[in-house]
Amino acid sequence: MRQEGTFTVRASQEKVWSFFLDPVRLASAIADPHMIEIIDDNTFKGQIKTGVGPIRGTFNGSAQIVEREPPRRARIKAHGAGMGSAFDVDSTIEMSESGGLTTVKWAADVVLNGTIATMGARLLEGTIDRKTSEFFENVRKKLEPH
Amino acid sequence: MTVHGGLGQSIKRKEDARFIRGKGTYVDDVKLPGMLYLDIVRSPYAHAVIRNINIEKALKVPGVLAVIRGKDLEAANLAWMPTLMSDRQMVLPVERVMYQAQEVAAVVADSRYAAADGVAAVEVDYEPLPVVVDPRKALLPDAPILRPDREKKSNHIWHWEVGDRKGTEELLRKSEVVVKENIYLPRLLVSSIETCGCVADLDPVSGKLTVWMTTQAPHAIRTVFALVAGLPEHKIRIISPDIGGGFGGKVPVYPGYVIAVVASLKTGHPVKWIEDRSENLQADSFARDYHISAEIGATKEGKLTALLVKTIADHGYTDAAANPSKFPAGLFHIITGSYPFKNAFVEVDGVYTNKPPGGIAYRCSFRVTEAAFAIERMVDILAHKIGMDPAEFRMKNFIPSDAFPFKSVLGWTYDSGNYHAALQKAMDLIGYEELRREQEEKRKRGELMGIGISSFTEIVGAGPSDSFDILGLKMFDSCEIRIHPTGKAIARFGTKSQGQGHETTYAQILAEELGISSDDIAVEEGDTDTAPYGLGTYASRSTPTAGAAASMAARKIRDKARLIAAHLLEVSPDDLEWKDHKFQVKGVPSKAKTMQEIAFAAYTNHPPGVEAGLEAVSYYDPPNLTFPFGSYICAVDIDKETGEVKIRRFVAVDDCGTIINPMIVEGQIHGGLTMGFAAAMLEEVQYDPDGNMHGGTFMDYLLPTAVETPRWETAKTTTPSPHHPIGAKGVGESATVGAPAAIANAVVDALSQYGVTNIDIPITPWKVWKILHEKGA
Repeated sequence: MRQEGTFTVRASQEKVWSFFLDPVRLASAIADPHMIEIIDDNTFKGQIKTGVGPIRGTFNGSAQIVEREPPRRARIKAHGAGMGSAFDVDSTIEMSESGGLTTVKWAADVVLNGTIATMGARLLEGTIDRKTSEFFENVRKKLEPH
Repeated sequence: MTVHGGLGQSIKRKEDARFIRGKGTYVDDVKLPGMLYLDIVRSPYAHAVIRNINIEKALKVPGVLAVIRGKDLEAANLAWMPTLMSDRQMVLPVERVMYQAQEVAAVVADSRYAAADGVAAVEVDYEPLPVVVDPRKALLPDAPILRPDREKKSNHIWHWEVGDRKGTEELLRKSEVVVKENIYLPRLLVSSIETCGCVADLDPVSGKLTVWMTTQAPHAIRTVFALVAGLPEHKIRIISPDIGGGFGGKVPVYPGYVIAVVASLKTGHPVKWIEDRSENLQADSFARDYHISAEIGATKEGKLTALLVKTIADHGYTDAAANPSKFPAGLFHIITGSYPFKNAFVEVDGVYTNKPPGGIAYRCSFRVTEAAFAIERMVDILAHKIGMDPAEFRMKNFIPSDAFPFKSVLGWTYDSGNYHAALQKAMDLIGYEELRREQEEKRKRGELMGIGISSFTEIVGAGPSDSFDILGLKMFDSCEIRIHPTGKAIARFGTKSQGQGHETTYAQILAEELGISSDDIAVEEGDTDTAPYGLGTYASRSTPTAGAAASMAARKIRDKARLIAAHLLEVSPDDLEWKDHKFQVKGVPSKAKTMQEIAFAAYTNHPPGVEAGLEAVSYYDPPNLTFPFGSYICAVDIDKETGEVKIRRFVAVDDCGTIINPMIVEGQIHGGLTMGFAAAMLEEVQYDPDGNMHGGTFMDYLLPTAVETPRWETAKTTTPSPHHPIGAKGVGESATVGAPAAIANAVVDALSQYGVTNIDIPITPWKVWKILHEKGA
C-alpha cells in the first residue's frame, strides 16, 4: 500500500529539516500515546498505543534513517509488531523552500500483515488518512510562529 | 396401527427441550477442577521464516505457567502430524509459518485472560518470504516452492482423473454445439455458531486421556490419537458433547487439540482451548476454492453428448481435506449430474498456496456442491446457446426414471430417481409458463427478470467398504440397542449429531422397527467409551449408514423377540408374523405379543435354549451410495440502477427417499437453502497479495439474516432408495448443493439479453451493476 502527499508549512527549510530529522521532536507530533528511545544518530525504538477500528493495543517498533541528504531528502525505514500484526514502512521525504514556505513531499510504502490487515482492511484507509492529516497539522502547529 | 413417533411423523425434536432452554452442554460448558486455559500465538505473516521465539516476557505474566513452541514438540516427535490425505501438517512450526493466523506457539495459564496476556507478550522474530495466494500462479515455473520438506519440488500436490479423455475430446469435436466456461467457486468459511475447542485431561495417575472435543467423528479421532501419539486406544476417551453446528468444519484434527493434550501432559492439569471467532474464521478448514474449466457438447436438437472438466483445487499449504482415501477430489465425478452423457472426462490438480488448509468443509458432501453447481450452470449455458428453454432442455436430457439403477459414464451406479417428476412439480408450483410470459413482457418494457433452474443429483452415504475408507478405516456405521425389561430402550450410534436431530430421527426408525414409542427410546452418541465404533457424521451419511444400522440392529432384536413371543404364545416361531408393530399368530390377530411383553419375558421368562436379555448391534456396510435429487426454480428481479438482485420466488422440490420426520427434513432444507443463497449472493473470502485474509470477521464476511433471506417454498417427491433398509437417502446437504446454481442461472437468464453467459458467485450488486454498466443497459 503506497501513501503519498504534500505538506506545506510557513517555516524555513533548515528549520523543517531539523524538525523532521529529530526523532524526539518529530514524535511529539504523534497524537497517540507513545514512548521513544534513541539508540544512535540514525536509529530509534519506540512504543505506541494505537489502533484501527476495534483493533487497539500496543505496538513496538524501530526505525532507521537509511539515507540522508541534508537539507533536502531522507529515507526512513520502520518495522513494528503487536496485536497479532506486523507493519513495515519504507518512506521518503523531499523538501524545497520558496517564498518563506517549505514544501515537504512525502511517500510511504506500507506493508501490513496480520490482524490489522485482516480485520481493519475496510477501516484502514480512512484511519491512515485521518492520522496522517492529524500528524501534519500538529507539525504545522509546532513549526509555524504563533 | 401406528406407533407413536414412528416413520413419517413430524414429532418435535427431543433435543430441543434442552437447546431452547439454553441447557445444552457444549465443550465450553465443561469445567473441571484445576482446569488451565490455553491460548495460541498466531502468525501475522502468510509466509515467513521464524528466526526466534522469545518467551521470557510471556513467562513473567502473572498466571502464565508454560509456553509451548514447535521445538518443544519436536523433541516428542509431535511438531508435525499426518493429515487424512497422506500429507503432513504442522502442530507448531519449527522453521516456517505457511499462512496468516497459523499457530506459532501456545500459552498455558490459570485463566483465559492471563493466557491472552501471555500470547501478547510472546515475541516472535520473522523474516518474511514471498507469498503465493493464487493456485494458478503457484504452478508457474518461477513460483517459490512452498513445501521444501517434500521430495517433489513443486507446488503441485496431486493429479487425479477419471473417464475417457480421448473419447470425450473426440466426441466434443464432433458435437454440433459446444460451450466452454470458466467457473470459480470461491473460498467459503464454515461459520458454525460454536467455534472449535476442547478440554484435554490426561490423568497423571491412570494415564487415561479424556478429551471433550468439538468433533464430528469421535471414534476416528481416537484412532488417529492412538496412532499419532502412540497412546493405547483403551486409554483414550473422546467425548463429543453437544455441538453447535459442524457442517464439515469439525472433522479435521486441528493443531489446537493436539497442543491442549500436550499442555495437559506437561502441566498435569486439565487444559481448555476454545477458539475465538476470528481464529475460527481465519485458521480453520474452509470450503470450495475450485477453479473449474468446463466444456459441454450437444447435438443441435439439444441432446447432450460429452462433458470435459479441468479443475485447479487450492488446498492451502497442506492437503488436510477429509476425503475418503481413494478420492482426493472427493466425489467430484458426480459432475455428470442428472444426465446420461455418452462420454465424460474429469481431472483435478491439487495445489499448495499460502492459505489455511482444509478443503471440503461446509455442507458439500465431498465436493458434490462444486460438481452440481458446475453441471447445472453448464447445462443452462448450453440451453441458452441452442435457444431452447432450460426446463425443456433438462426434460429432454434427464436420465429416464425407468433407467435406474443407472450406471453413469464416470462409474457411479445411481440407486433410484425420477427427475422429470421433480422438475414438473417445481414448474407446476411456481407457474413456470406464466413466469416466462411475464418475463417476456417485462423484457419488452426494459425490466430485468430471470428464471433459473437447478436439477441436481447428489451422492451421499459414504460408503461401501470396497471403495470407501478414511486412513484405512472402512466407512461403515453402527447402532447398538439394548431393550430394558419394561420395554424401554437405549440405542447408541457411531455417528454424532451437530444439530441435525439424531436423537429424534434415530428413535423414530427404531420406534417403527420395534413397536416402541420414540419417547421411550434414548439415543446416545459421541462418547467413545460407550458408543459402538463408527466413522461419524458428515457428507449426509448418518441416515444412509447409521440409520440403516438402526434398522438392521432392530431386525436382529426382532429375530430374537420372535423366539420369545413364540415361547409365550406356545406356537412355533414360523407361525408368527410381525404386523402392526407386534408379533401375532398368522390369521389370529387377537393372539399377539407386544415388544413390551416380549422384553419383560426376556429378563423374567426366557425360553430354554435362548439367552436372556434383548440387545443387538449392527455395523452396517452400505451396498451402494444413495442419490438424493431435486429440482429448484428461482425467479429474480434485478434493479437496473443498483444491480441489486431480489429473489421473488424460490421453489424447492426435494426427493430424499423415505422421509423419517418431515418437519426435520423441512428444517434441513430451509437451512440448506439459506446457506446456498448465502454462497450465491454473499459469502467469499479473499486474500490480498501479502496473504492477509479479507473476510476474517463477520463485519466483512457476509452471512444472511432473516431480513435478507427469501421466503422458501418447499415440496417433495418420494423415490425410496432400493438398497437402504427403509428407503431413506439422507438430506443434510441437498439444499446447499442445489440452491446456488438455481440463483446464478436466474441472474444469468435475466442478463442473457446482453450476451452474458456467466457471472461468478457471490453475485453482488457491484458485479451486476458493473456488467449492466459495461453493456450500456
